[in-house]
Amino acid sequence: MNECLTASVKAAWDRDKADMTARVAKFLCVMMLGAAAVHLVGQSADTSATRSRILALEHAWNQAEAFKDLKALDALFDNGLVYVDADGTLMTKAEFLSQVKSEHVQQIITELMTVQVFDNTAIVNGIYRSAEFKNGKPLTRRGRFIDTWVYKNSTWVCVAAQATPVVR
Amino acid sequence: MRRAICITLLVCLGTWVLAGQENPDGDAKSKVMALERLWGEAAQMRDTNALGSIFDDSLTYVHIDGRLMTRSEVLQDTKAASPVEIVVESAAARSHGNTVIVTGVMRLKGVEHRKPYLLYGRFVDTWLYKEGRWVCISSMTTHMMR
Repeated sequence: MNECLTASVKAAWDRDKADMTARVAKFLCVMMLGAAAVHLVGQSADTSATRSRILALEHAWNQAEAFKDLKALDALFDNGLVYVDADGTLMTKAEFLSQVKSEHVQQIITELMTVQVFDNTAIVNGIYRSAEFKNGKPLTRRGRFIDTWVYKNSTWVCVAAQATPVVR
Repeated sequence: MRRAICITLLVCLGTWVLAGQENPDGDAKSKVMALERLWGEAAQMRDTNALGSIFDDSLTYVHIDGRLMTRSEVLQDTKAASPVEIVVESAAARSHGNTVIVTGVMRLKGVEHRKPYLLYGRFVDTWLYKEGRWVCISSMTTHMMR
C-alpha cells in the first residue's frame, strides 16, 4: 500500500516536474522571441535616427564651411580624414581645414542626399551646389559627392569625402 | 531538457557577444588591398561574377564621368564596355574597425568611338566587414588633370 502510494506520488511529482520544465522552456522561447522582436524594432528605429543624425551633420558641415567655422568642422572630421576635391586633389584634414580658411565660399546647398546605414558605418551620396568668388568673379560649382561616416568614440565622424564635377 | 535550455541560452549569449565584436582579423588592410587588385583584374577581364562577389548589394558607385550607378548597373556597364587597360598606380588603406578606406590613383587606357583615350582618376573605396567577409559598399573616382 505504502509502496503504491509512494510510486503514485513520485509519478505525480515527475509529471509536475516535466510540466514545469516545459512551461519554463515555453516561457524562455517567448522571452527570446520578444527580445528578438524588440531588437529588430529598435534596430530600425536606430537606423532611422542615425539617418537623421547623419543628414543633420551634413547640413552642419555646409553651414560651418560657409561660415569658416573651423572648430565645428574639426569636430565633424576624423583625424585620419581623406578628402578628395572635385579636381582630384587629395587632402588631409589639416589641408582641407586650411583650404576652407582661405576659400571664398558664400553658400553650399545640397540638392539631393541619400544615406545608407550599415551598423557603425554610413554612406552619404548627393549633389551639392556652391557659390563662391574667385578672382573677384562669382562662380557656381555643382558636383556629386560621397561621404563615409563612422561611429567612433560615441560620435559620428567623417572619415572620407570625395567630390566630382557634374555636368549640368 | 534543462541541458537543452542551457545550450540554447549559451548559443544565444555567444551570438549576442560575437555580434557586438569588431572584425577580429587584424590584417584587414592587406585583405582589402588584395580585393582591390582582384577588382582591377576582374574589371579588365570583364569578369562580372568576380566583381559581383566583391560588391555589396547596396553598392553606391560614382563613375569617373560622374554617373551615379547601382551594383547591377556597374556589372552591366562592365559587360558592355570596350576593352580597357586599368593600372592602379598607387593605393593606400586606412582601417576604422570594421571599415577600411582605400584611396589611390588609377590610369585607364582604351579606345572609345575609335578614339584612344588615357584618363587618370583618384578613387576612394569604402569596404565593410559584413557577414564574415569584406565587401565594397561605395566607390567613387574623380577625373584628374595631368
